[in-house]
Amino acid sequence: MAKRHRELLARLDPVGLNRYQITEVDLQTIEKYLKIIQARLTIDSTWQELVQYGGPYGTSIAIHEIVEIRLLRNRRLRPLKQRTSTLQRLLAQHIDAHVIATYEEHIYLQEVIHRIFNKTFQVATLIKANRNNTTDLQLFLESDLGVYILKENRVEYARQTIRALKGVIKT
Amino acid sequence: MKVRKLQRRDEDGVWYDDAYAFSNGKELVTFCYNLTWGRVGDHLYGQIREQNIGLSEIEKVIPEGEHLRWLAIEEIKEEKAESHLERLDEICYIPKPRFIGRSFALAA
Repeated sequence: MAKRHRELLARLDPVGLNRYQITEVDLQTIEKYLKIIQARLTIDSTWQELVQYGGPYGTSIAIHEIVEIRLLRNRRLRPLKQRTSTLQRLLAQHIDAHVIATYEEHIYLQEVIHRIFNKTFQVATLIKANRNNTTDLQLFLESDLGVYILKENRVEYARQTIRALKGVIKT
Repeated sequence: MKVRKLQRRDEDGVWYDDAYAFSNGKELVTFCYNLTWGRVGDHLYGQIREQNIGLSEIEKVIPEGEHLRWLAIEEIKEEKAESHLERLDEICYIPKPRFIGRSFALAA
Protein backbone atom coordinates (compact mmCIF):
# COMPACT_ATOMS: atom_id res chain seq x y z
CA MET A 1 0.00 0.00 0.00
CA ALA A 2 1.38 3.40 -0.93
CA LYS A 3 2.55 5.46 2.01
CA ARG A 4 0.88 8.57 0.63
CA HIS A 5 -2.57 6.92 0.80
CA ARG A 6 -1.96 5.94 4.42
CA GLU A 7 -0.84 9.47 5.20
CA LEU A 8 -3.86 10.96 3.47
CA LEU A 9 -6.20 8.61 5.34
CA ALA A 10 -4.68 9.88 8.60
CA ARG A 11 -5.47 13.47 7.56
CA LEU A 12 -9.16 12.78 6.88
CA ASP A 13 -12.03 12.86 9.40
CA PRO A 14 -12.23 9.48 11.22
CA VAL A 15 -15.97 9.86 11.83
CA GLY A 16 -16.70 10.27 8.13
CA LEU A 17 -14.24 7.50 7.20
CA ASN A 18 -15.89 5.14 9.66
CA ARG A 19 -19.43 5.96 8.58
CA TYR A 20 -18.62 5.27 4.92
CA GLN A 21 -16.09 2.53 5.69
CA ILE A 22 -13.39 4.26 3.65
CA THR A 23 -10.02 2.50 3.68
CA GLU A 24 -6.59 3.04 2.11
CA VAL A 25 -7.68 0.76 -0.72
CA ASP A 26 -10.68 3.02 -1.31
CA LEU A 27 -8.38 6.06 -1.54
CA GLN A 28 -6.29 4.22 -4.13
CA THR A 29 -9.49 3.42 -6.00
CA ILE A 30 -10.61 7.05 -5.89
CA GLU A 31 -7.26 8.20 -7.24
CA LYS A 32 -7.40 5.69 -10.11
CA TYR A 33 -11.00 6.61 -10.92
CA LEU A 34 -10.26 10.34 -10.98
CA LYS A 35 -7.18 9.70 -13.11
CA ILE A 36 -9.44 8.06 -15.67
CA ILE A 37 -12.33 10.51 -15.72
CA GLN A 38 -10.10 13.58 -15.53
CA ALA A 39 -7.32 12.19 -17.69
CA ARG A 40 -5.27 14.56 -19.80
CA LEU A 41 -6.83 17.75 -18.45
CA THR A 42 -4.53 20.75 -18.17
CA ILE A 43 -5.84 21.87 -14.80
CA ASP A 44 -5.71 20.54 -11.22
CA SER A 45 -7.85 17.45 -10.72
CA THR A 46 -10.32 16.59 -7.97
CA TRP A 47 -7.72 14.21 -6.51
CA GLN A 48 -5.30 17.11 -6.04
CA GLU A 49 -8.08 19.08 -4.34
CA LEU A 50 -8.83 16.16 -2.00
CA VAL A 51 -5.16 15.88 -1.03
CA GLN A 52 -4.79 19.64 -0.66
CA TYR A 53 -7.69 20.02 1.77
CA GLY A 54 -7.58 16.79 3.77
CA GLY A 55 -9.61 17.21 6.99
CA PRO A 56 -13.40 17.20 6.90
CA TYR A 57 -13.69 19.00 3.57
CA GLY A 58 -11.34 16.53 1.89
CA THR A 59 -13.41 13.77 3.49
CA SER A 60 -16.56 15.14 1.84
CA ILE A 61 -14.81 14.90 -1.55
CA ALA A 62 -13.72 11.32 -0.83
CA ILE A 63 -17.27 10.39 0.21
CA HIS A 64 -18.72 11.72 -3.04
CA GLU A 65 -16.25 9.78 -5.19
CA ILE A 66 -16.40 6.48 -3.31
CA VAL A 67 -20.22 6.49 -3.19
CA GLU A 68 -20.31 7.06 -6.96
CA ILE A 69 -17.75 4.32 -7.62
CA ARG A 70 -19.55 1.82 -5.35
CA LEU A 71 -22.88 2.48 -7.07
CA LEU A 72 -21.31 1.98 -10.50
CA ARG A 73 -19.62 -1.21 -9.31
CA ASN A 74 -22.88 -2.52 -7.88
CA ARG A 75 -24.24 -2.24 -11.41
CA ARG A 76 -21.27 -4.25 -12.69
CA LEU A 77 -19.95 -1.31 -14.72
CA ARG A 78 -16.30 -1.73 -13.62
CA PRO A 79 -15.49 2.01 -13.67
CA LEU A 80 -11.74 1.44 -13.24
CA LYS A 81 -11.61 -0.68 -16.40
CA GLN A 82 -13.24 1.91 -18.66
CA ARG A 83 -11.82 4.54 -20.95
CA THR A 84 -12.49 8.22 -20.27
CA SER A 85 -14.78 8.54 -23.27
CA THR A 86 -16.77 5.45 -22.18
CA LEU A 87 -17.18 6.83 -18.67
CA GLN A 88 -18.41 10.10 -20.16
CA ARG A 89 -21.36 8.12 -21.57
CA LEU A 90 -21.81 5.75 -18.61
CA LEU A 91 -21.98 8.58 -16.08
CA ALA A 92 -24.64 10.30 -18.15
CA GLN A 93 -26.63 7.05 -18.33
CA HIS A 94 -26.30 6.51 -14.56
CA ILE A 95 -26.84 10.05 -13.46
CA ASP A 96 -28.54 8.91 -10.26
CA ALA A 97 -25.13 7.62 -9.05
CA HIS A 98 -23.81 11.17 -9.24
CA VAL A 99 -26.94 12.58 -7.56
CA ILE A 100 -26.79 10.08 -4.68
CA ALA A 101 -23.05 10.82 -4.29
CA THR A 102 -23.83 14.54 -4.13
CA TYR A 103 -26.51 13.83 -1.50
CA GLU A 104 -24.18 11.71 0.67
CA GLU A 105 -21.40 14.31 0.35
CA HIS A 106 -23.72 17.00 1.71
CA ILE A 107 -25.38 14.85 4.36
CA TYR A 108 -21.86 14.37 5.69
CA LEU A 109 -21.12 18.11 5.41
CA GLN A 110 -24.35 18.83 7.30
CA GLU A 111 -23.27 16.50 10.11
CA VAL A 112 -19.67 17.66 10.36
CA ILE A 113 -20.62 21.36 10.28
CA HIS A 114 -23.03 20.73 13.13
CA ARG A 115 -20.38 18.77 15.02
CA ILE A 116 -17.64 21.38 14.62
CA PHE A 117 -19.48 24.71 14.42
CA ASN A 118 -22.83 23.79 16.00
CA LYS A 119 -24.66 25.22 12.97
CA THR A 120 -27.43 23.51 11.04
CA PHE A 121 -28.14 23.87 7.32
CA GLN A 122 -30.53 22.09 4.99
CA VAL A 123 -28.85 19.70 2.53
CA ALA A 124 -30.12 21.65 -0.49
CA THR A 125 -28.82 24.90 1.02
CA LEU A 126 -25.39 23.31 1.43
CA ILE A 127 -25.35 22.02 -2.15
CA LYS A 128 -26.12 25.47 -3.49
CA ALA A 129 -23.44 27.01 -1.25
CA ASN A 130 -20.84 24.41 -2.20
CA ARG A 131 -21.17 24.71 -5.99
CA ASN A 132 -20.73 27.60 -8.43
CA ASN A 133 -22.98 25.97 -11.00
CA THR A 134 -26.61 25.18 -10.09
CA THR A 135 -26.71 21.94 -12.12
CA ASP A 136 -25.94 19.64 -9.16
CA LEU A 137 -28.58 21.37 -7.06
CA GLN A 138 -31.18 21.07 -9.80
CA LEU A 139 -30.35 17.43 -10.44
CA PHE A 140 -30.69 16.79 -6.72
CA LEU A 141 -33.98 18.65 -6.33
CA GLU A 142 -35.57 16.86 -9.28
CA SER A 143 -34.36 13.43 -8.11
CA ASP A 144 -36.34 10.79 -6.25
CA LEU A 145 -34.31 11.26 -3.08
CA GLY A 146 -37.12 13.20 -1.43
CA VAL A 147 -38.44 16.70 -1.14
CA TYR A 148 -35.91 19.14 0.21
CA ILE A 149 -36.02 22.70 1.37
CA LEU A 150 -33.65 25.28 0.00
CA LYS A 151 -33.30 28.32 2.22
CA GLU A 152 -31.99 31.05 -0.08
CA ASN A 153 -31.43 33.42 2.81
CA ARG A 154 -29.00 30.94 4.42
CA VAL A 155 -26.89 30.20 1.31
CA GLU A 156 -24.31 32.93 1.87
CA TYR A 157 -23.93 31.98 5.54
CA ALA A 158 -23.52 28.34 4.52
CA ARG A 159 -20.90 29.41 1.97
CA GLN A 160 -18.93 31.22 4.68
CA THR A 161 -19.20 28.20 6.96
CA ILE A 162 -17.93 25.84 4.25
CA ARG A 163 -15.06 28.24 3.66
CA ALA A 164 -14.21 27.99 7.37
CA LEU A 165 -14.52 24.19 7.22
CA LYS A 166 -11.94 24.05 4.43
CA GLY A 167 -9.43 25.46 6.90
CA VAL A 168 -10.09 22.75 9.49
CA ILE A 169 -7.27 20.22 9.35
CA LYS A 170 -8.18 17.92 12.26
CA THR A 171 -11.55 17.07 13.83
CA MET B 1 -25.03 33.22 -30.07
CA LYS B 2 -21.34 32.27 -30.08
CA VAL B 3 -20.16 28.78 -29.19
CA ARG B 4 -16.75 27.15 -28.71
CA LYS B 5 -16.28 23.42 -28.40
CA LEU B 6 -13.64 21.81 -26.20
CA GLN B 7 -12.21 18.48 -27.31
CA ARG B 8 -10.21 15.87 -25.44
CA ARG B 9 -7.98 13.29 -27.10
CA ASP B 10 -8.42 9.66 -26.12
CA GLU B 11 -5.85 6.90 -25.64
CA ASP B 12 -5.85 6.19 -29.39
CA GLY B 13 -5.20 9.80 -30.33
CA VAL B 14 -8.79 10.42 -31.46
CA TRP B 15 -10.27 13.80 -30.57
CA TYR B 16 -13.81 13.77 -29.15
CA ASP B 17 -16.23 16.50 -28.08
CA ASP B 18 -16.11 16.84 -24.32
CA ALA B 19 -17.47 20.25 -23.31
CA TYR B 20 -18.35 23.65 -24.71
CA ALA B 21 -18.77 27.29 -23.78
CA PHE B 22 -21.28 29.76 -25.15
CA SER B 23 -22.34 33.34 -24.81
CA ASN B 24 -25.36 35.32 -25.88
CA GLY B 25 -24.37 38.88 -26.69
CA LYS B 26 -23.48 40.71 -23.52
CA GLU B 27 -24.17 37.74 -21.23
CA LEU B 28 -21.37 36.06 -19.30
CA VAL B 29 -19.82 32.99 -20.87
CA THR B 30 -21.34 29.72 -19.66
CA PHE B 31 -19.11 26.65 -19.48
CA CYS B 32 -21.03 23.39 -20.02
CA TYR B 33 -19.40 20.09 -19.08
CA ASN B 34 -20.25 16.45 -18.46
CA LEU B 35 -19.94 14.47 -15.23
CA THR B 36 -16.32 13.39 -15.86
CA TRP B 37 -15.32 17.00 -15.16
CA GLY B 38 -17.04 16.94 -11.74
CA ARG B 39 -15.76 19.51 -9.27
CA VAL B 40 -13.10 20.68 -11.74
CA GLY B 41 -15.84 21.73 -14.16
CA ASP B 42 -17.63 23.55 -11.36
CA HIS B 43 -14.49 25.49 -10.40
CA LEU B 44 -13.84 26.47 -14.01
CA TYR B 45 -17.47 27.54 -14.46
CA GLY B 46 -17.04 29.81 -11.42
CA GLN B 47 -13.68 31.21 -12.56
CA ILE B 48 -14.94 32.04 -16.05
CA ARG B 49 -17.89 33.95 -14.55
CA GLU B 50 -15.94 35.59 -11.75
CA GLN B 51 -13.21 36.86 -14.08
CA ASN B 52 -15.71 37.67 -16.85
CA ILE B 53 -13.63 35.69 -19.34
CA GLY B 54 -14.71 36.00 -22.98
CA LEU B 55 -14.92 33.10 -25.42
CA SER B 56 -11.84 34.26 -27.31
CA GLU B 57 -9.68 34.22 -24.18
CA ILE B 58 -11.05 31.12 -22.51
CA GLU B 59 -7.66 29.39 -22.83
CA LYS B 60 -6.56 31.61 -19.94
CA VAL B 61 -8.75 29.54 -17.63
CA ILE B 62 -8.71 26.19 -19.45
CA PRO B 63 -5.36 26.01 -21.24
CA GLU B 64 -4.93 23.85 -24.29
CA GLY B 65 -2.50 20.96 -24.13
CA GLU B 66 -1.38 17.92 -26.01
CA HIS B 67 -4.70 16.25 -25.22
CA LEU B 68 -7.06 19.20 -24.88
CA ARG B 69 -7.98 21.74 -27.54
CA TRP B 70 -10.49 24.52 -28.12
CA LEU B 71 -12.08 24.76 -31.55
CA ALA B 72 -12.75 28.05 -33.30
CA ILE B 73 -15.71 30.20 -32.23
CA GLU B 74 -18.90 29.34 -34.13
CA GLU B 75 -21.66 31.88 -34.72
CA ILE B 76 -25.12 30.36 -34.45
CA LYS B 77 -28.28 32.12 -35.60
CA GLU B 78 -30.65 32.91 -32.74
CA GLU B 79 -33.48 30.79 -34.12
CA LYS B 80 -31.19 27.76 -34.15
CA ALA B 81 -29.47 28.48 -30.83
CA GLU B 82 -31.62 26.30 -28.58
CA SER B 83 -31.55 23.24 -30.81
CA HIS B 84 -27.80 23.68 -31.35
CA LEU B 85 -27.14 23.66 -27.60
CA GLU B 86 -29.40 20.64 -27.13
CA ARG B 87 -27.41 18.81 -29.76
CA LEU B 88 -24.12 19.75 -28.09
CA ASP B 89 -25.46 18.52 -24.73
CA GLU B 90 -26.22 15.17 -26.35
CA ILE B 91 -22.86 14.89 -28.08
CA CYS B 92 -20.92 15.85 -24.95
CA TYR B 93 -23.19 13.79 -22.59
CA ILE B 94 -24.00 16.84 -20.51
CA PRO B 95 -26.83 16.28 -18.01
CA LYS B 96 -29.71 18.70 -18.32
CA PRO B 97 -31.94 19.14 -15.30
CA ARG B 98 -35.64 18.97 -16.00
CA PHE B 99 -38.21 21.36 -14.61
CA ILE B 100 -38.15 21.25 -10.85
CA GLY B 101 -41.72 20.61 -9.93
CA ARG B 102 -41.30 19.29 -6.45
CA SER B 103 -38.83 21.66 -4.89
CA PHE B 104 -39.55 24.54 -2.61
CA ALA B 105 -37.43 27.62 -2.45
CA LEU B 106 -38.01 29.59 0.70
CA ALA B 107 -37.23 33.21 0.19
CA ALA B 108 -37.48 34.04 3.85
